[in-house]
Amino acid sequence: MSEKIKQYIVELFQQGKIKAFLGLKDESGHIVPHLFSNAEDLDGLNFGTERYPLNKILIQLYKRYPDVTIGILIRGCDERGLKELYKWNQLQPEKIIAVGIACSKEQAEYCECSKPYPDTCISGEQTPGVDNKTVKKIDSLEISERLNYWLDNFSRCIKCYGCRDICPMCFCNECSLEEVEFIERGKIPPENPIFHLSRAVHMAGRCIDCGLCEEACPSIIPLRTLYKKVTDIIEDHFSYRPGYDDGKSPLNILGPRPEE
Amino acid sequence: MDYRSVLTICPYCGCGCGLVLQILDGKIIGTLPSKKNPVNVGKLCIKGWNAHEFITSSERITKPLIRKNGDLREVGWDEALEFTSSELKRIKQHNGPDSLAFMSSAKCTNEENYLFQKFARAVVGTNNVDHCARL
Amino acid sequence: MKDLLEFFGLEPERLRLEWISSSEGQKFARVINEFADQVGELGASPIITKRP
Repeated sequence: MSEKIKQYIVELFQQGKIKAFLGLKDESGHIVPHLFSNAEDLDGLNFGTERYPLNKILIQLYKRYPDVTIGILIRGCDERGLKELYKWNQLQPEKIIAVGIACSKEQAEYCECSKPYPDTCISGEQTPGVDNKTVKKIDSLEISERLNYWLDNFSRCIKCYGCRDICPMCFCNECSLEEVEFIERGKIPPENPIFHLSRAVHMAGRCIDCGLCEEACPSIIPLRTLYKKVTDIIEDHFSYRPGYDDGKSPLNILGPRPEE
Repeated sequence: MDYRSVLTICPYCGCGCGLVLQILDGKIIGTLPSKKNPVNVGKLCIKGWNAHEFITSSERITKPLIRKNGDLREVGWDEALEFTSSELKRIKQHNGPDSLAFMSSAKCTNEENYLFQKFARAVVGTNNVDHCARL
Repeated sequence: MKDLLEFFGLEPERLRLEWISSSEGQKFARVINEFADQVGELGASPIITKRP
């Protein structure tokens, strides 16, 4: 599988379609993000199960070099991220060539991913989307059991901001979770449950369910389940799913001017 | 346009979490957790996530400073070293070695911290030495 | 947001959104009294009672 993709990328370079390729590299056994600047470089390119928020890095590159066309390695979730970031004007589709890989069945089940392959899929077998069991499990609990579950989980939060720092959809210059009037400083766990419920509300219509937040949480808080629920709520009320071709998020639309 | 990752270990506490420093055009722009590192397995605390910030912080001292008349003034190295050694001697003589405390930094190298505590213990004669990772 | 509160474990009736202009004083008084009664019946917030 990897040879097919490497060849595809080599051709992109040779045809002058991309200036550089953003992917993952194996560095002495550790997987890290890397920008490959020519075809010869591609030997270290890797597709293990470790994932990084490449979209987030792409935004940094785009800010500095808005005129350069860059290739990027994407999975199903990354493609949802790209589509959503285009709608929020953080990236320009004309400057990006996505090279997609499909996730394995194990990966799709681990993520309970609704679509574990991108549209622009170059390699990998496309497995079907997996149903959302963790959210259903919480829904089935009694209301007071649910409260205990969430309060317990949030009480382990160490306010590392890892969930926010790693999220590919978080690009706000001023984050409300850092507002002193809103979230008191020097308090661990941070305002329970306001801190996490606020983040959940901000993820509405934005979360593309990549799961990096839960992977980055040192306290193993089931963040993904919370944000999956928020995504379900938005889909129920507005028929909108982030990262699909459903138009703009209902929270991204400024309405018509009120009548004078 | 050059973007690369540099693997390193967090300088703060004794855990030794693996960091992936993000370098864009030779400057550090951010930090990511190292996913395959067995110590932190892709997770970081808030100090680790922001470990890169002190490098280019505007608050870093770049020249020796001495407080004169309540204000910090830039001085040369000779004056700074002379002032420090004479004051340390005076206070040690007057109030004893334990009236002095030595505060180092986890961001210094192990070698610098070894030298620092050797100075505090063997030269000045006090055990009052610590650094920011314990605070 | 009511759906989210319910998922979290709080009764959705604890949240109410209304649009009231500053000139609708009577409506404001009525809504607030109604809501106060409604929440009073639900009892003290379980977060206050449960928080360690």
